[in-house]
Amino acid sequence: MEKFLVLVFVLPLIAGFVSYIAGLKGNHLSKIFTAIVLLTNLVLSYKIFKYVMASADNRIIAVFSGWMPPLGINFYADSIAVIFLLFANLLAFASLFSAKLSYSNRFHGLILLLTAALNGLILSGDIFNIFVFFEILCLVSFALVAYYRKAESIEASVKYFVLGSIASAMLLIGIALIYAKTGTLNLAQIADMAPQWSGLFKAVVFGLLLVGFGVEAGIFPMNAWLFDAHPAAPYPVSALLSGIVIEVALYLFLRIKSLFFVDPLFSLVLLLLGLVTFAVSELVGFYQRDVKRLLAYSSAGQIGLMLMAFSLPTKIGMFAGLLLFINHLLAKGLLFISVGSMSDRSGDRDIDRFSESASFVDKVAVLAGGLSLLGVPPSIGFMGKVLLFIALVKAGFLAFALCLIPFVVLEALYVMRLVGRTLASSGDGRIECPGQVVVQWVFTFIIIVLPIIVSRMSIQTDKLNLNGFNKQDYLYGMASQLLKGDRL
Amino acid sequence: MNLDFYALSIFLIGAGLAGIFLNRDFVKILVSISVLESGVNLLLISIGYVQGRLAPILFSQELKASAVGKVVDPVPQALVLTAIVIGLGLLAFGLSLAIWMAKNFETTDVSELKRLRG
Repeated sequence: MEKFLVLVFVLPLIAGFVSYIAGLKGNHLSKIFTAIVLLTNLVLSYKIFKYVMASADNRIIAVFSGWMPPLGINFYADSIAVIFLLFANLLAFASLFSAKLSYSNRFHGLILLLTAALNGLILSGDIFNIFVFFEILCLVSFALVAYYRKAESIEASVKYFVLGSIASAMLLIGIALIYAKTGTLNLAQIADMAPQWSGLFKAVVFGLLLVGFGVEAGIFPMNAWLFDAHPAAPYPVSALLSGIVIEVALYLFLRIKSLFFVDPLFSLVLLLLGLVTFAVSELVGFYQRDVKRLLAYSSAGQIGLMLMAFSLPTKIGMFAGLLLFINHLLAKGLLFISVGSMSDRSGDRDIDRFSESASFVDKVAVLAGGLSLLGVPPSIGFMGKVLLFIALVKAGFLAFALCLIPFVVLEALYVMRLVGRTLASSGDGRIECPGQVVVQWVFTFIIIVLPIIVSRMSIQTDKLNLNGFNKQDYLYGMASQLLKGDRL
Repeated sequence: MNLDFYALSIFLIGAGLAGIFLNRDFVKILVSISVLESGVNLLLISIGYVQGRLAPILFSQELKASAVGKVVDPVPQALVLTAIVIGLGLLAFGLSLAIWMAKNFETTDVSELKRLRG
């Protein structure tokens, strides 16, 4: 099983280059090859998911080339990581499957590299490896945003590039400071020493990492790139960028925060930032006419909600955050694929005209995705929002919870406008890629079925614990030698 | 102590950041990003550097036995190698963006982008 953990990262990394070469003869070959690799990845990550969920201590560790941590580098998966892993690979496969055949080998190779970087980031237990994978992720996303090489996409990519470069420099400074203080790069060993840091040092490193991850995660003052990049990218890329890339950056930041910065003050700062991100994005999003830009603002809003949920140090907040993440990935992925392909066909992204060539499946998909996104009762979006509300009230942040309500309504209004325009369209468009129809139906099906599964799980929150990041695992080795217990 | 290295790296980081925010030409911004990255790399190197010690290359048996007290910390040097390669990749990608920018807008002035697309 440890081999799978490594394979899920290495396979798409190598395949990315092979796929590019295979595609020199034609797009078919590289698309089929890419689909096979991503499907293998999906199966592997499902196996890891099942194994970790069924195992006694809910974790699995892969150590590289016999160097035990903290000296060597390692991959680590706990129950939170495997959920992210499974859904990341699901969305990667879905967005490739729904892509038009006209996308070239450049696209296929980059999608594979993006998947590799995402899997590496989710699993890595070494802070410098996180930096390296993060750079792969940034570079690949810059290139994917600029895919069309038109004025709009080049402009978006330039903005993203400049902000991303500053962010990665800040991240590296943060890592350098941590190394100077502790002399190690292993996350768990750093976490052991973190309580002894002085308040000033903690604040400086926290600020640097916040900028470093915050740009990619789309946290409020640093998310200016997001609203240009998501609309300018091809629609499968928009789905990936919005559905998983920003969430993984958020996940990394919060994982590091829960290890190094346990003081409640940091949680409060993040709660405030999350609220501001949510409020500002929904306010601005309400006035958008460009449909993909509207969805991008909604993504930023959802990131704010997830940031609030994950920064609450309680299990119920954790669970709310996970539900919001899964809901956003499925619903926004589906919406971006449907709305993006519709606006591609009609050649216009204006909200009055984008749906001129909507087909039946588009209407169903936008309805399911939209309702789930804004949280209409049985959906997991609803569960996530209600749980977040409860978690905020229980943690004593009633004011924050009340502040959320008007903006939730605002989001519901503009998402409903989008859904309404799609349903009202009389077009009978034809989708050129049959894979897209399959993806739309499957995602719609998952969105409908998932609430039933989640409610039958009887909320096993004890299995889902981000704080269950056991320092001993990193320090002394293999999963088989681990003792159960002493999780936070 | 190697305070002069720290001072120089902080100066380079500051100069790079200032260059990014003050310049409007994308190629000049790229140069500033490179300066910023050099500053960060220098910071990393100076963390592991100890005045008067050897490079961490263990070419002889007796050095292997007593290396700990004689050589500088090799980890930051390995990190910097990686960071330099990543910086090169970023720069190459940035320059290719600049070419496409010049093709699309016939300028590399960032402040002109919105106006030209309009």
